[in-house]
Amino acid sequence: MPQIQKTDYQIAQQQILDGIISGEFDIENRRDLGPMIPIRLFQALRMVALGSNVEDILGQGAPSLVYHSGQSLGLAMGQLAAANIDKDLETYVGKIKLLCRQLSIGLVVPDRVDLNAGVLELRVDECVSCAGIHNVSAPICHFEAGMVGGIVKTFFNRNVKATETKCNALGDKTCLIRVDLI
Amino acid sequence: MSNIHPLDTRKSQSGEIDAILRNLMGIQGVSAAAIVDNDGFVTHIQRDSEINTDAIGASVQVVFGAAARAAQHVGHHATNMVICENAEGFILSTPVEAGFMLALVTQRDALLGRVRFELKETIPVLKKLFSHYLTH
Ligand SMILES: [Zn+2]
Repeated sequence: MPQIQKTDYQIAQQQILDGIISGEFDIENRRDLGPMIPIRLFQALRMVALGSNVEDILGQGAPSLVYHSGQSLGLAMGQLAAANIDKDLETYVGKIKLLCRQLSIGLVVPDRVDLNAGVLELRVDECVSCAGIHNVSAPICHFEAGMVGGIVKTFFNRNVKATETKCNALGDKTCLIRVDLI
Repeated sequence: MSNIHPLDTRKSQSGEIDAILRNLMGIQGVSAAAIVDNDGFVTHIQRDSEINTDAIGASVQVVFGAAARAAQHVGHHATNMVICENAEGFILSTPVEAGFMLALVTQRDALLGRVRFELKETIPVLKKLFSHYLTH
């Protein structure tokens, strides 16, 4: 069987995810500057590099790429949170909330959990992507929607569709992500 | 980047879309037919074999978006279909409504002209259905 070689991005991805999983935030080669960065730099990467620049090349394909990227992170976070919890939803959500806080992604608050209807709604307060952004015409946190989708998908092991229905950048004061279990 | 046009899931699961996809599967050489939403999520699919729907859905949107952008650079402004020709067959994708796409996967023995024709015949029917399903 031919050996599948990892690309350099995949090698970097593995190291970044390993770093997140270890819970160790210190990082080498940043002795003076340390592990933290200004939120505007993250937003430049998210809304420019993974936003308007991607849109320049991919047009209507951009949200799919961004959603898919967020979902990959959500799947990794989900695997981390699902370990040793015996499928307990409350513990899972607790671990996800803690992880999102540690990573400064946002403050995750379950707003509605209706498993009979197959619907979960999670608020992301202080969302890292759209804090301080205003006057957009539609929700812009496709990355976070994908991430929440990936997190829910991991727990339930079902196909899910996550949609951002409220967005701080629209003036909603929070980002609300609705997840439909399919 | 995009406006939200959620599908009324209850209405859209009524089977009409699946029936159309099954019909398309009846064309010689067609091995999968899918509807993909604007986030790259596969909302409906009929297929002969297992497919990673997450990955194919996002890829279909990305490939169509990139092709439509390339077309704009040469002054072409309405992209109706993107055809990806592979050693093993074809992938065809066509916009339906509000960012939704219809994607078909074929084997090598498919007759491209026939598949294209059927696809073009199907789009107006799907557009009409989607205008009922989309919640504005
Ligand atoms: Zn938002």
